[in-house]
Amino acid sequence: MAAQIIDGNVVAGEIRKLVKDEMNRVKKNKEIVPGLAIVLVNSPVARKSIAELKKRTCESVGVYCEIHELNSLTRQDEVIELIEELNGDPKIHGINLHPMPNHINFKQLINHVDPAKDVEGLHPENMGNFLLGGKTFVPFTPRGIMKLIESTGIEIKGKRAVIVGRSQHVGLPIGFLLLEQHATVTFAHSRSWYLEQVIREADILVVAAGHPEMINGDMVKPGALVIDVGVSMVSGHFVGDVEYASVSRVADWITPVPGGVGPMSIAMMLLNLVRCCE
Amino acid sequence: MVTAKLIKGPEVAAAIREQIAGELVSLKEKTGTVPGLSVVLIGEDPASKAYVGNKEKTSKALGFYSEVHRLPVETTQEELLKLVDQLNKDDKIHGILVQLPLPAHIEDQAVLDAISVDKDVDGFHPINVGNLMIGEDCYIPCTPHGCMKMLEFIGFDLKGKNAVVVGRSNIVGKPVALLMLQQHATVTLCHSRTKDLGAVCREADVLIVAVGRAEMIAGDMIKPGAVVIDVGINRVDDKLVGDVHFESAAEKASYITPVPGGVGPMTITMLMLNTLESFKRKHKIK
Repeated sequence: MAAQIIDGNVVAGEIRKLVKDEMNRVKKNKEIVPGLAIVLVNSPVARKSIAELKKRTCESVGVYCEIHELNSLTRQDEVIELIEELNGDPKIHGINLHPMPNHINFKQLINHVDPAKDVEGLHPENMGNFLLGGKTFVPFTPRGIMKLIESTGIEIKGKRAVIVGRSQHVGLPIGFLLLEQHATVTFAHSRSWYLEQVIREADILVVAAGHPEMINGDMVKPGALVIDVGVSMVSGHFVGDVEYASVSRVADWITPVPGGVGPMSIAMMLLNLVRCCE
Repeated sequence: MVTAKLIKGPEVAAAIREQIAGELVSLKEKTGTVPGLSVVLIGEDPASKAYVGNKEKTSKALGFYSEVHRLPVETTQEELLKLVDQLNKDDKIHGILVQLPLPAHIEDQAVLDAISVDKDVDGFHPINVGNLMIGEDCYIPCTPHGCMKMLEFIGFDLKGKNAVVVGRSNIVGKPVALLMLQQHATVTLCHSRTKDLGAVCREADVLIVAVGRAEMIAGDMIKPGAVVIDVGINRVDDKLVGDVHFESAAEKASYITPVPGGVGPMTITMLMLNTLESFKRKHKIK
């Protein structure tokens, strides 16, 4: 039997509705217009079209959005100066940094973002509070993944969750979110000796390794829920880290690529922005 | 029959203290000063007094500058925060430790958050925890740090191995899981809701147990040849036992930490190591 599809567009649509209500509540209670600043330094990784899509989404839910586009010659200290300015700008409640070219040190930039305006949840203070279980910003991709898992109605408690990939913005936080919901969580990665064995234990499998179609149907436990975070372009098509055709025959639930995790991101970032306003 | 080799905390700690003492000689020559540790104790709790006494003794024995602020139990949060602020600014002091638990009228987290990140040698400040998570420079909390040093002491290479952590506390389980992941182990975190705990534990090449339940892990839950680190200390009929049932586990494991005499004696030494690290950072010495 084929797996049921977890449709990111449908879940994201529901989140956007929620975001709109929350934004209206914030506007009314706080008498402010929530504002987002996007910072991008031009380069092949800057993804300006995504910035524009974010801006349109913001406007559709009543959020003020400004895009700060800097040219590719911009130095580190100039980006920091802009961030400091945005930290002090009362119109701006959240700061979103786009992927930066190689000459810019992204981690150092994040350290300059006011933790209270860190919509991405990547500032060490927010990361630390997240790990300690405090109320804080959670990186939005993992938060979106939790919403996708919750949308299926499966019980997380006691399940074995395996995370393939240990990045700070996806792998680690999704693992700790699942741990908080009482899953037994395994972090696996490219150096794992028993990778196939470990993957086959997973009731919930989250793959965020960035290796196209590295997981096939033979590796997945029948009945598993599979979340595919990877997006790669292979001969003109987008594919995930999971080989969809074979895995969807074995799993009970699966996210497609595209149309799975991707559509959740902007909606989840705006949910974080609501928290920034509060 | 005990076939496992013992990883003895006092032995590992002594080796590290020797390194610290050696390093201190050359640092003193270079800088003309020594690392300083300030410990704050509020009230008369006998266990806390004993811990603080040990910390003072160890730092003096190693040649650190050491001060202990013993304050009465009625000290207010405001007074304590003022002291922390003074210590944050004090150039002689490189590490600040506020002994927990604090009296009920003082909010632990407010005090811990007030300690300068640069002097947070306990490693509990959220920024330190965040940096630990993303693999940046940080002070590693003492107990998980001690566990890692014990693995290092026996020359255990974590790369690719299965590591299982039983217990998901903020002070041991989560940080030790992150540290082993950074050393490229495949890491599984288990807890009270884990189904078939025995089966998961039997996958472990390294098993770290930190739950605080006497002898809950027995030999039949251990993979032959595994390394077992027992962080628990429980009092049963006037005897101290770990979270691991020692006799049966020692028949299966290749290495095991005894209780007492395992991880416990490591923690103060790790505190000294962090204070030394803070001193080196301040003087920009690698």
